Amino acid sequence: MKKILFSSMITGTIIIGALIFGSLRNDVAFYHSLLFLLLLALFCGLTLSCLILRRKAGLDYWLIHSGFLIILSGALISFLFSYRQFLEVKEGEKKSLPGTDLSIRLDKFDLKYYPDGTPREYRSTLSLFKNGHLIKEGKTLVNHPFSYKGFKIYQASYGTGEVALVVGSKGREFVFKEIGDEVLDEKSGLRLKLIDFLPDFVIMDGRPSSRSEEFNNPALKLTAYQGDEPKESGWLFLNFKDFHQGEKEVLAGLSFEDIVRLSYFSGLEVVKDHGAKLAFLGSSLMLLGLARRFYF
Amino acid sequence: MVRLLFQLILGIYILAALCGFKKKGWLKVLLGIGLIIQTIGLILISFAAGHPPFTNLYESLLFLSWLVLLVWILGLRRYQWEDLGSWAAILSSAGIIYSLTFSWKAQPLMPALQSPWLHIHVSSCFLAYALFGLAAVSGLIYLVRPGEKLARMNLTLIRLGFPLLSFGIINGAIWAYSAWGRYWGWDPKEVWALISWLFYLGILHSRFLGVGKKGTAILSIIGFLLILFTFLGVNLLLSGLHSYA
Repeated sequence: MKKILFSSMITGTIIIGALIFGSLRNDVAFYHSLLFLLLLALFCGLTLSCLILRRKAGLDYWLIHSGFLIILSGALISFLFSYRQFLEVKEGEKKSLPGTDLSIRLDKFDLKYYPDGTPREYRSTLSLFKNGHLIKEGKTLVNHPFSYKGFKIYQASYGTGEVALVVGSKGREFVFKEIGDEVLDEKSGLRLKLIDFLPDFVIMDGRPSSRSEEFNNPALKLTAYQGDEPKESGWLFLNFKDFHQGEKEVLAGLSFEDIVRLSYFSGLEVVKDHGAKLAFLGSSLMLLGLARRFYF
Repeated sequence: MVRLLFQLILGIYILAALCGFKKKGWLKVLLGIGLIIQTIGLILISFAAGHPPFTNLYESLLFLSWLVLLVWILGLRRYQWEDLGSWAAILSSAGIIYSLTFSWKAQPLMPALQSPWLHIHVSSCFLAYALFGLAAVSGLIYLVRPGEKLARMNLTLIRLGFPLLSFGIINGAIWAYSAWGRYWGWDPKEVWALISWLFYLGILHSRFLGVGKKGTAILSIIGFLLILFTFLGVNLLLSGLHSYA
């Protein structure tokens, strides 16, 4: 008995060492490695042998130790068999869930802010289809997943889908929705073409690129054509309307006025995890045992 | 304004800690008064922010320093914790001093934190931290001045804290499952909570392998260092989902 306890203490110490190593590497793959799983299996095996050898131990002992083993069985089932799929769905779009006969349509995405501009709530209104037939409608919010027969749909993230970029020219406005869009400036007879758009403009390694997907420093690149001849090309900045690189004739009269969000996309995490209930059952047993053992 | 109130509380605690080494009677009175004022201070902070005082680091530190003294006062009669008083006051003072190094600005609650689990999770974890903090303090005093009473305190505090840490980790897992769709994701905070949990599990089992009172005292100090790293170090040094508190 003492030998088993001693071995589990050694194993536990090695597990602690492995966890410290894992947290410094900060790579989840480490905890799924064979070495780490074997350590956990050894720890469980030792706990199980204690449980078998001390058959006559009290109820608390049984609740705590069997609870611990049930938690880890649940974790193993989750690890081996859970279904997990991340989807990015645009408003109005329907996407099928790989490996199932289900598909999800995002009907609406709502975003609410606090007065200081940080997001307060985001919710997706969804329709769920099975083999093309509508079977359930509902919503998903952070902390309030959408459920259907063991599947849970979580609101994981969101992002801006379509935007309209508004360029002003002496009181008039031109709107671009996609890279490659062209508009004709009737006054000058020039064609303006949207070449590029960067939400968070920064020069990296001598080239314009975007630091993030946030609209921190939005910049768009336009080329002005006279007939088929490109006449001028350059960047316009939303935050620096008067800034133009170099001597510009056409572009100097233009300014990047606004970004209008036309739609959002929603990041949805779809999960079917059969191990969770078992892990929570084990947790309840363990807590009951611990409370009895140490508090009553 | 509230900062000033907490500076006053800090003054009371430091005074109490100094008194505690000589006059035990004054210690209780001063800590009692300090605790009442701190309760009012925390209520003021909560009302101003619109949420309970543990959604960021400076609030958490104030809440934790309050819990340490609350636990001490509640256990005073039953477990005879007089000897811990001065050190409990020092522990609380350290929390308030650290909190005062931040600028106190209430932030609105992000969507993931808007859940009743927030209260249950933080309360149970912090209560465990407070108990383990007092355990470490009793361990420290035991090493300087060994005695039967202190050894008993040391063990009692560990045994009171362990189920609460277990409960805190488990309800955190349930919350994570409802917010993110997984109950365990190897986030650095989760990993370090598990490290601490395994360590205290080890302390509780080590007694069957002949580790004595002195050994338990030393281990309880190391355990609290792990708890401190889980609480503070992870946020300051490792990135993860718990980056807000």
